[in-house]
Amino acid sequence: MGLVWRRRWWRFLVGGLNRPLIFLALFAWNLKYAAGGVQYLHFLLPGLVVMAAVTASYTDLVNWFTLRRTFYRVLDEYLLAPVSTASLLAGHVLAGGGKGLVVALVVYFGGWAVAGDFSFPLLFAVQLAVVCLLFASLAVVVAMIAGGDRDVLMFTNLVVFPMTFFCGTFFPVERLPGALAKLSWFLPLTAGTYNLRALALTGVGRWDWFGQSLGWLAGFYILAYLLLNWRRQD
Amino acid sequence: MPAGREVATLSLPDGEPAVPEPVGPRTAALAVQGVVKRYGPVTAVDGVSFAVRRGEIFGLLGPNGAGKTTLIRMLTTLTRPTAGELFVGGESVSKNPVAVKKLIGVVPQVNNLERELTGRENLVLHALLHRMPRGDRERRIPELLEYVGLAHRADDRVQDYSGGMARRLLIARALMHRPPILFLDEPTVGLDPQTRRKIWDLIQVMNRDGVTVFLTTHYIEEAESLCHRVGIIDHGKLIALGTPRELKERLGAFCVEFFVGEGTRRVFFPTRQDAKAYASTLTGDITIRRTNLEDVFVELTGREIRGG
Repeated sequence: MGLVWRRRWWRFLVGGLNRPLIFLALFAWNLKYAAGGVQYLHFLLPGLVVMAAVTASYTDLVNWFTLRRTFYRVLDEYLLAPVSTASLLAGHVLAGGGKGLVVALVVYFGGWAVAGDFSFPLLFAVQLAVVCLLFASLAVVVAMIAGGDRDVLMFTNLVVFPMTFFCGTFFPVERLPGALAKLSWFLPLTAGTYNLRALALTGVGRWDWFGQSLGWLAGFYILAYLLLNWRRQD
Repeated sequence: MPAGREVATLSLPDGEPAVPEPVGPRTAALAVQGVVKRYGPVTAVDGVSFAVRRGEIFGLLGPNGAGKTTLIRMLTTLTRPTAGELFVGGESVSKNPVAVKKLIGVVPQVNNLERELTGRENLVLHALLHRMPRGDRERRIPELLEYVGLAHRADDRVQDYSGGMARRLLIARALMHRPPILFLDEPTVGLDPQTRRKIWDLIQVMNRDGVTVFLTTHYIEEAESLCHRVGIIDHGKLIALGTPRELKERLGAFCVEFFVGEGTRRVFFPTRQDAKAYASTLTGDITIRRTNLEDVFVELTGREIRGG
């Protein structure tokens, strides 16, 4: 994957930055001037970082796996190598998550340069890496279940894309109506978003939120392992 | 030779058969024992047994959908059988798949190269996946690119390769980690006759260099001209096994082909003289020719191999 990444890193980077930068321009700049919204810009940037992390970690890997499994059959080349399912999964999740982390950090430091006054404690980087790995694991899960690229597109549009909006990225989940606010806390992204925001704005995070993200990562990683193993032996 | 008997006969194509040697699952290059593969209600492979001797070019001949690719996927660890045992290089495919993967190279039917990478980079990727040491990898890549005649296009992206070039690169990739056993799934399908012959030459050179070759094909000429032994598969069952010469001689080495009211009829004879004598009793358009594996397939199944 690294060899291919070397060949197309710039396309990946441009593709991954595209959406967060548009949102930054659209919402933050307008709100900044319209509502004296420097505070909103501060609120928004960690959300955009999360959005970039999710999109970059998930989208590329899910497409990579699905197309290579069902259409190009390139996955067979990986499955024929004398490597275990565990290392195959670790390699792909680390590569997918690593790429997501790079894009998310570019968005964060880009936003920092514009808005200023953010923190970057070590836990911020670790929490961000956990979010990236979590969604890279989810990408493998989806790719192993999906029958083809249309299934992936449907899942992405119905589940992943809305999640990037309703997990505290653009507005606090408390503003969601009734049960939806509570439900949001049962999604894999909310705790990570809140922790990243707290770390970026105050330099102090919450371990329960971090633990919740870590739990989701463990769950998806185990599920991805089981499904990849199932596909290998199908 | 009936399916399932653990005796292999090695001979050069149309040459004299060598003395039969016993081949067990642990000594054969490949052994397939009572293998069944079902996909829901469909039985893709139905109780197939045979063994392939080390150093042999073995061809599995059959129409599309006969079960050839499923069998190759099971032998190469990509698909698990519903029942039966498979051995590759003496290793059980189900119990020790990682050891099997080190022994085999696989040329799939479809081009599954990384299209955005160059030919050289595809070989590097394969070497990394097989954990080849850097020095060995750097010696092996130019050697292989030369071997398959792609040295001059090594640094071009695969998306710019022709079908024949991609197929040769797939062969080079499969040989990268020096496997003693090579699987080729329909290696010349979709290629023009000239490229097809180049691939055949390459397969023979590899075999001369000591590689056991297992290939699937639905081209009669490919099976006849390349393979020491051929297994004929239809509807998931192995219906004949032997050298091309043996299979044809079972039918009769010569064929008299003539047209009668209901269509073309073929009658087989052990010698040309017998065929000529029979032909002299007929009238109309009559052809006397050598029997081929297509005749064998038609006689066994009642239909032509390309008809599926």
